[in-house]
Amino acid sequence: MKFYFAKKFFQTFKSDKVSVVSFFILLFWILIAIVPIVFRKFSIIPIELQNRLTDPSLNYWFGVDGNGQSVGLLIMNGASTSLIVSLFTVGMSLLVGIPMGACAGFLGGKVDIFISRIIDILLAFPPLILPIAIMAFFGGGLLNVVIALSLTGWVSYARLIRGQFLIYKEREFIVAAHSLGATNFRIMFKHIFPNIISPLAVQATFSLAGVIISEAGLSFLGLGVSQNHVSWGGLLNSAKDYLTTNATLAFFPSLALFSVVASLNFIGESLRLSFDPKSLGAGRV
Amino acid sequence: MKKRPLSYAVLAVFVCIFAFYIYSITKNEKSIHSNTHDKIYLGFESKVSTFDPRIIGLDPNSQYIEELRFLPLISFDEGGNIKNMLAQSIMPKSNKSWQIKLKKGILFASGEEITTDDVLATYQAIMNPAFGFPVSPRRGAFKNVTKFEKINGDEIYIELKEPDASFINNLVIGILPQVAVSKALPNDVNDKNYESGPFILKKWSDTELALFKNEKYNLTSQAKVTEVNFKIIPDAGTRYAALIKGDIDIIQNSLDPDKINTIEKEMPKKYHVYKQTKLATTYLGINFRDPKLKNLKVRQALASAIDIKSILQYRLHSDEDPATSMFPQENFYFDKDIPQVPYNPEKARQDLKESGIPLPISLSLKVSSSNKSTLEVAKAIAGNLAAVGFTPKVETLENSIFQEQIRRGISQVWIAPWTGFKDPDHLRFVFASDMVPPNGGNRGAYSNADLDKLFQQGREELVSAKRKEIYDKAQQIIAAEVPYIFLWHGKNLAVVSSSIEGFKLYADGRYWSLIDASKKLSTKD
Amino acid sequence: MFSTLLKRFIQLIFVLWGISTIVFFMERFIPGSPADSILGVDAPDVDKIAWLARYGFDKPLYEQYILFLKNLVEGDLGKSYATAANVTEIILPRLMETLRLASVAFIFSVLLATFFGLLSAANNGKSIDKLTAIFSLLAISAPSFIIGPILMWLFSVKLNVFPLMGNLSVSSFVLPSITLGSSLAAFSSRMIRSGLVDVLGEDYIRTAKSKGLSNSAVLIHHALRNAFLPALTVLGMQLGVLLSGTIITEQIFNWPGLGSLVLEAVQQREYNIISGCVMIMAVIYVLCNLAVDILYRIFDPRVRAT
Repeated sequence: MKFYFAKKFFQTFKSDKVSVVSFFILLFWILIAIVPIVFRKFSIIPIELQNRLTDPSLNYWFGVDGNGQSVGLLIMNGASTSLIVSLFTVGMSLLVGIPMGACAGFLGGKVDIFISRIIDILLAFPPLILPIAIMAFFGGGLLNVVIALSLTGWVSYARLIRGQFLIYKEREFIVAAHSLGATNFRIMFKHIFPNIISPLAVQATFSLAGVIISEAGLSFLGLGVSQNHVSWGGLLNSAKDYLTTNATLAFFPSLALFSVVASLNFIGESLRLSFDPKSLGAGRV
Repeated sequence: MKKRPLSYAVLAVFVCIFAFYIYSITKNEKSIHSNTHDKIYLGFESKVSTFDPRIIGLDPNSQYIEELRFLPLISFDEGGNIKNMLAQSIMPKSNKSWQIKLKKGILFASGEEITTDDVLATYQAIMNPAFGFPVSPRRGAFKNVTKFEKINGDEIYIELKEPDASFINNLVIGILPQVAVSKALPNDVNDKNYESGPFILKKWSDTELALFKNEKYNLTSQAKVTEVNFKIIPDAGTRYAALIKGDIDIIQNSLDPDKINTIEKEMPKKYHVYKQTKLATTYLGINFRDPKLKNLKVRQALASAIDIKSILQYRLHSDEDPATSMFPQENFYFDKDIPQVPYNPEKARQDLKESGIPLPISLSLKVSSSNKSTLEVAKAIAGNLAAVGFTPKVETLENSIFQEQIRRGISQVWIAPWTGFKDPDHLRFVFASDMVPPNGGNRGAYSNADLDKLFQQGREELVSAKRKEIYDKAQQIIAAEVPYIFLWHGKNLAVVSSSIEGFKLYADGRYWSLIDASKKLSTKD
Repeated sequence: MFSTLLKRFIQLIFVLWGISTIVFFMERFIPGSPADSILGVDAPDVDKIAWLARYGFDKPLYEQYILFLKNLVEGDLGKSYATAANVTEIILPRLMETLRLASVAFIFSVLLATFFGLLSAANNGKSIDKLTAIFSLLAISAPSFIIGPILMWLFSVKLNVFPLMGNLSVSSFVLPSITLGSSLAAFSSRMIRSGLVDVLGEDYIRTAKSKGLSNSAVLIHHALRNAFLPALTVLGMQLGVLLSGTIITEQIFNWPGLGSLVLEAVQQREYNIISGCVMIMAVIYVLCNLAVDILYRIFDPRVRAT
């Protein structure tokens, strides 16, 4: 079963050149993002005020921004912020969403009603509205961004898992395991869970892209990570002031953000096709 | 057949949305303004929070519009000196009481004359708001008032609990007609001919304020143009683009230094740039509650570590010297003997070593998010500090949280400006040991007995030459003890299209000169 | 049918209660006092206490909460701190501006989506189809804060064909609505395409084709009508998403709508306005979803049967 999926996956992947390119772009960005985390030297961006607002040159490949900081280094550090925020947010969301969805779907009854109502309420906020409100009320910071995005992020996983559990609960092999005296916990995580990893992986890939956009969007509005962290959204926000005079400042952060998000979306799409060839949607939901 | 209702429903939904769409694009259909000679366009960076003099607070734009619409008793001229507006004369009766005579025959737009009753009603509305009416943020300025009443028929008598030489500065509130004070709901003062100033607000929205010439205005000569239009453009880049495109004629104090520099260099013919030092000093405050910062060596290290000259030169495009004290060079109380602390990272490192505190010293640098360029400067300063052995973290806080935290002493170092002070007694407000908040502005809890004595002497001394000596001494102590690192003195900056004539910069940024401004159109337009 | 509606209605009330409760408690746990930002930090404490009392901040939390709910039921969202104007009155004109923008963006994206959906369904599996698929994923990957500044730079600054900002003329709708609607257009073009492809496989389409109708006639007259149902669901839900998307778009183009009102209110710490806006957006979003759901139930016999 597993082997079949792996084979199918690589088949799709091989025939799909766009995904291969996306994969390497993503790999490139992950490597870039790790550099400032591993080598502290790169996380300190010197301020050279006399070189402010110079265009890309041999010394500064990507130019220097309004603070006299190298745009290349800023983008590198922005990549680590994106990486950290997206991984932690998706991780937190999974950590909350999986047990919640599993309990709701498997146990049913009052637990299901309770959890479903919470999901209903959280889904009633249009995307990004609740994070904006949270950031507005409680202030910026890396941790706050992760919390704000996770608070709304877990819901989609919980909903997905709940639906899957509802389906699998009635399957014969589960009923059989039940009658053999397996505990609920064992059934939930040993028997059902492995079956729903693939839709979960698709969802997680798309939501990595979604989180990166959301984080950048919050920072663009000035409600994201604080001044001590570089964010691509923040770079775009400050570049916007120079749109009339130094338009190149906005170009490279835009390109970075766009390439990462597009790669994630292409890979997600490719994953989705390999797991469920009939679905022909587009992008994150 | 079964599918029919669906198509109708979809059709209906689309017709509804389409109807709304048509309504949308036709609603505000106005011709984009033709830049005519009797209209002046200005750019504002934020909207006016309220138009009602009874509830106007800290928002400077509200105050600027207020003055153009509702005449106050007094105002300030370009240099920041008091000038009489509605007041004919202000006679001090003692050191805490005044008698004010009104000018006669000044009219509201309704044609009625402004009387003492109107003045009293307006001030009463602020001092004792009717039940259910919002409390005016300016009420605090009048808490000392014991009498505010009419005498001799047409004069006003004001008496205070305690002497306060600066009280007259508070009489800038725009006067509303008595009937407005008693009848109008909060903020409901537009379109009712309550105006007495040179302009009447005719159109107001979240994107523009259109002020038209008041034909009944008779305090001075009437406005030269028929309309001044304030366009509200929150985004700095857009504001600049609007100026360059010619949608806006005047931008004052809301263009960043880079753009002004570009304009000065590349378009000197098209725009005049007005600059004027104002009494506003941006400083880096140090909290003495923090034991590390109580160490003089650490404070001196801070002072030599910051390359303020480069920041001024490159970041703010200013060729001036950094501030050495609270007062700019032009001020009488400026002490030229106080030397500048040179940028010397070596000395800073040395000082830190001598302080005996293990390095690196972690430091949180707080700034308010309301001023973008201060924020950028804070980042640059943090870079300077990181180079000598601090680990600084810039914390941007929403303005009111920022103010509250530094007031409560929840801070290490912070950057903020002092503005609007007029007397050297301000130093006492900021540095005297009994002025720790909530009593005053000594937010770093700095204390020095010698300084306290000097401040007391300065307060009692009336001869200005002697006063200057006292305050020179005080400022030298401050320079040696480094409770603050003074960064720079603020400036009023206006970029004005060269087609505008008669615009003047006012010390506190007010727009009164619009009354004399006019526009000549070049033949091209 | 009626019982389903009733059930949905009860759910709606519950969700509205949940939204308002979350917003209320978030608002009360903010650090800092609103009195400081309105009256100034250096205002006398007496005035600050009076101010807090005026807006009910001195009462115990549960009393504030009950009062808040009571006012909400009466449609009272509270008052602005700075001007004492009713929040409802402040929000309403801004909401209309947002709806204007959102509806134009919506129309724009539906037209675009229908066109590309038809194009790729008609060329199912061919390179045009693949190209539109890639292109639409790219469009989804470009958030409004990338598209907006680029459009602005190109069309307003460089070419000077569209106004830089504001909402005064028809042409000022162009850039914001493209910014706002592009990812919705891309997204729904895929939905319409897959709906069409599904429908094209069904018997009656084959019958229609066998009757000798041209390919495009079959596509437009028969298939599109039926493929619209799934697309309608997505589009309906996306109308709510557009509303939240306006926050960033309005910020870029200086559009005086609800989104820029939220950001202004954040800066001025006008809690009542922030929570009012958040609640209004949530309510519109919920109502959109509900309307879509009901329409779907009424008109799709398969759903009705279950």
